[in-house]
Amino acid sequence: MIKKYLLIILLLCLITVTPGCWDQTEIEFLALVRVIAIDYLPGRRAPYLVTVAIAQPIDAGGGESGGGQPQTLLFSGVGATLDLAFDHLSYNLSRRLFLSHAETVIIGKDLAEYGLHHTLDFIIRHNQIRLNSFLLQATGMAHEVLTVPERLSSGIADEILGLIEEAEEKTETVTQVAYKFLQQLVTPGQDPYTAIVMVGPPLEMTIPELQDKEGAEESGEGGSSDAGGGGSEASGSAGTRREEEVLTLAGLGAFRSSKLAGKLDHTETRGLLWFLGKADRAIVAVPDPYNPGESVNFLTDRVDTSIIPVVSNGEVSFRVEVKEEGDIRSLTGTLDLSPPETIKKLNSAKAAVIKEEMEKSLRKMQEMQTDLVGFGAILYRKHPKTFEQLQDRWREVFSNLKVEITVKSTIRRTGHQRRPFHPAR
Amino acid sequence: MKKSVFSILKKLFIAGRRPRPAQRDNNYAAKKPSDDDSPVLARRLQLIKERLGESNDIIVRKFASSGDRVDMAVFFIDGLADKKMINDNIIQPLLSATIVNNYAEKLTPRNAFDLAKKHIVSTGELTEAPDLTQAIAMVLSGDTALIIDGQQKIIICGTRMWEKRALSEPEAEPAVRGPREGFSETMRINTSLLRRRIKHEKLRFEAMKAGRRTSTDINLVYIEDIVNPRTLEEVRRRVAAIDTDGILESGYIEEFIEDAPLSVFPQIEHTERVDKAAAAVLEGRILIMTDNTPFMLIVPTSFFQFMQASEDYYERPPIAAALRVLRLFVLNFALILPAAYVAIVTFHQEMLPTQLLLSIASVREGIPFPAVAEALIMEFTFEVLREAGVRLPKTIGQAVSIVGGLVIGDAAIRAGLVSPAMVIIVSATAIANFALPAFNVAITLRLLRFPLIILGAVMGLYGVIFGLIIILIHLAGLQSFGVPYLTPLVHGSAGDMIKIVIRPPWWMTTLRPRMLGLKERRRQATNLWARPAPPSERELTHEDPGDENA
Repeated sequence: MIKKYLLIILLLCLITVTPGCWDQTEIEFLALVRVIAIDYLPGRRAPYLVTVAIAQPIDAGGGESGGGQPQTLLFSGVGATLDLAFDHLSYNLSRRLFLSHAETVIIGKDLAEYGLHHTLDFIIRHNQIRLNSFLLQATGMAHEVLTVPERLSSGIADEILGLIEEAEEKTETVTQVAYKFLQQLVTPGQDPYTAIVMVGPPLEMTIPELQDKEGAEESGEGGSSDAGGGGSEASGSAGTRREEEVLTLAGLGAFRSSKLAGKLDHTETRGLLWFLGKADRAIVAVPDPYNPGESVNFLTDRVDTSIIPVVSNGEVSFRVEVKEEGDIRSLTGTLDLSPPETIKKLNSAKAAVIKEEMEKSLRKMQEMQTDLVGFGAILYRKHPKTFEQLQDRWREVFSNLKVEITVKSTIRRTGHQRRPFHPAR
Repeated sequence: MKKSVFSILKKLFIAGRRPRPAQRDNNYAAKKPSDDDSPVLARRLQLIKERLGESNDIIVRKFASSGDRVDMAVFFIDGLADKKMINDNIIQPLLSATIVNNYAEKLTPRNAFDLAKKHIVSTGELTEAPDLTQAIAMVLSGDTALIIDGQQKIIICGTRMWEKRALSEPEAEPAVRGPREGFSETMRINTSLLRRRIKHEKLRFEAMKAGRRTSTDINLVYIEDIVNPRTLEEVRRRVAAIDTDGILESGYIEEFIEDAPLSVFPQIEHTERVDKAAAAVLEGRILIMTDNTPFMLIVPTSFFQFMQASEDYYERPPIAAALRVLRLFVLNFALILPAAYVAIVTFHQEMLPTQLLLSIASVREGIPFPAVAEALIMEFTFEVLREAGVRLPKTIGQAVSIVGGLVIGDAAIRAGLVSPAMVIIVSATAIANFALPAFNVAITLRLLRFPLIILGAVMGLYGVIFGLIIILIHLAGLQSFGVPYLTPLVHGSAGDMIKIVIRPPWWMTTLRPRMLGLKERRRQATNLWARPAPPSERELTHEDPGDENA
């Protein structure tokens, strides 16, 4: 009996030992990839260019408190497929590539235009890349995005993440994680979109009045710094040039199926956001209905959009009802807000502005034949038979779709001031 | 085949429920030559000398009544018996009474026994022993034997009195609020402490003895009209079955009577708090009191009892509830924190937030050991430090903790031998361990941590969960005197179950635990929701009611 017990205990011990520690990796032997940038180089035999931003933890040995900021290094590889490109890239790495912490995947414009099928398949199948990493589309090369020096954050990955997080509070763009993109891609009657990340001069550089002063400061600093973090592709001259560039998240890349179809600009993006009911931090400047030339600024608080498909005689149209609530932020003029009629008038004026934005956005989407709102999907939910008939030529139907938009705006608060102040004469 | 493997596994994890059958050596008592006992005093004294030897604490005082009519002797152990009492209440009356009360003439060897018992010896406790063997046993407990020449029976006077430790605060179980006196080593004091708390006629102290050579007194304490008679019978049976030469601590008894003697988990709770013991008795549990130790055993025990402290019952119920939840967290921390850390850091790096991963990676940079080795080294060091701290005198113990904890820890980090993250984990675990109210569970968790770390290092979180499941299976299989160990989590009523996390106010605690199978479950009247009603504000006003009427 005791022999039997001993045998079983031995076997149990063996269970723990025989599978071994194959999956075991000490944390410090990992190359933590924070951002993956994927580009397509048309006309090459190995068209896929992959650049990863690897966080290099600084040795905290010696008991220094703080431990120093992690440094970001760039590694690139090319290949006929993404797998080959990643393999190529790893030749340079002394540590194991670890993609689970890639919070952002940036798609180059050429790749987006070529089509994302292979890229998305790679992301879905990979056992490390998260489906909830953010998908961004670059206006140029995705690689270029990573070479931009960070401004406020401690590394390019944090800079991008910070922009993404801040974008949630604004209406410049809508950031999407990979699985949302995939969902939109595979939903019939819906086209996917991604936020656009742009590389460009900082906004203060685009203001001509500031130009001279800024230039003087720049030269005073002397453009030499470790910009780009010593990335393999970042040359010294590029470093100084990049010093003047920053990242901006603005606009949306509209995809038709998995291929880039076009771009929504600032207003068009916000128009789409009204459709999606997500524009709840929008700042709307409404022309003052009483004093021409003046405007009233609103901050939207709450948006509720309902999209109702209407099918009559085989004809499909949509009714979009937007209920918007907002606060007055400031006035440029001296409008007295106390009479209720003023508020009513302002409400309808704001509704008109919003409606215009929406119509403009819809027109653009219809032009591109990309159903980013998912009118088709909504139709499918309500009238599946009708949609099934139209499914094959849905984009065409969409481009001529009649959409009736009604906006109902409400003013919730007028800020801490009720009556305007009149400067003393 | 499958079934047999399963049954073997079952036996392995769920250790045997029945203690070994009693192997009491019944001939043991009979072997003692008691037949050579004789009523002749001289012969008896010689026998005493033969049997007890020349130990110098054995006092035999021979004397005679006036006129040398009756020879007598008192026989006691110095240090165990109250000499003053022996003088004043036994020897003095016997000597003087013979003169004063004119017993001198009456006292004859024939009636000396009855007279002494009835009229002369004035100790409060007085019994008789039929023969020398029993008398010796009593004397060894501190009583005094009065041997009268020519009488077979021996008078036993209760004169137990020895140096006792003063009642002190229970050091192993301090409480912020609650009585400050703990049990002491003397059985009689301990029973009095309990009797003072439960002044009920049904409180029973049932005397038993164990230990061939120590013949240690054991008391089973219970309230007769509450306790489950079958549990009581089982406790009696198991205690009676103890056959060993010595019981020096209640821990001996615990091992002899527990259900799964090889389990790492303690299945019998012990306490040196009188209030805790009284609460257990009132709850229908049985207290096993052992002489010469302040630690009393409480049976049956469920695992969650170890998660409770006496303050839970003295402080406000919501706070007690918060503390109980906290302790459940602490329990898990103390058990799995290092293992989970090792598993996550070496297998599941994707589970950590990126920034945290970067911080850990940067502190791990340049550490020569893998995380598991680091964890084992640190845990081992810590165990050594703790052991050193416990064994050393209090004053030096502090120095050890300073040198060990601060200096070595800091130096190890500076030297790059261990990472600060691991130091945080190990110390957090240790603090969590200290926060557990029961020391015997805490050391069990300390032990189980090591296999879990190894499992975590070999198989990741899968291994940790695997280990936890094995522990859970084991716990679910344990029993304590017929009560499942995980009561009230299993088999408990909803009311009992909720008491794992909350402590209901006393006015709602109407029932005793269901699984104990008590004769009387009700503690108080049925008005479950009848809160204590304070008088209304009106009644409290100090105005003279006569004024209002006027």
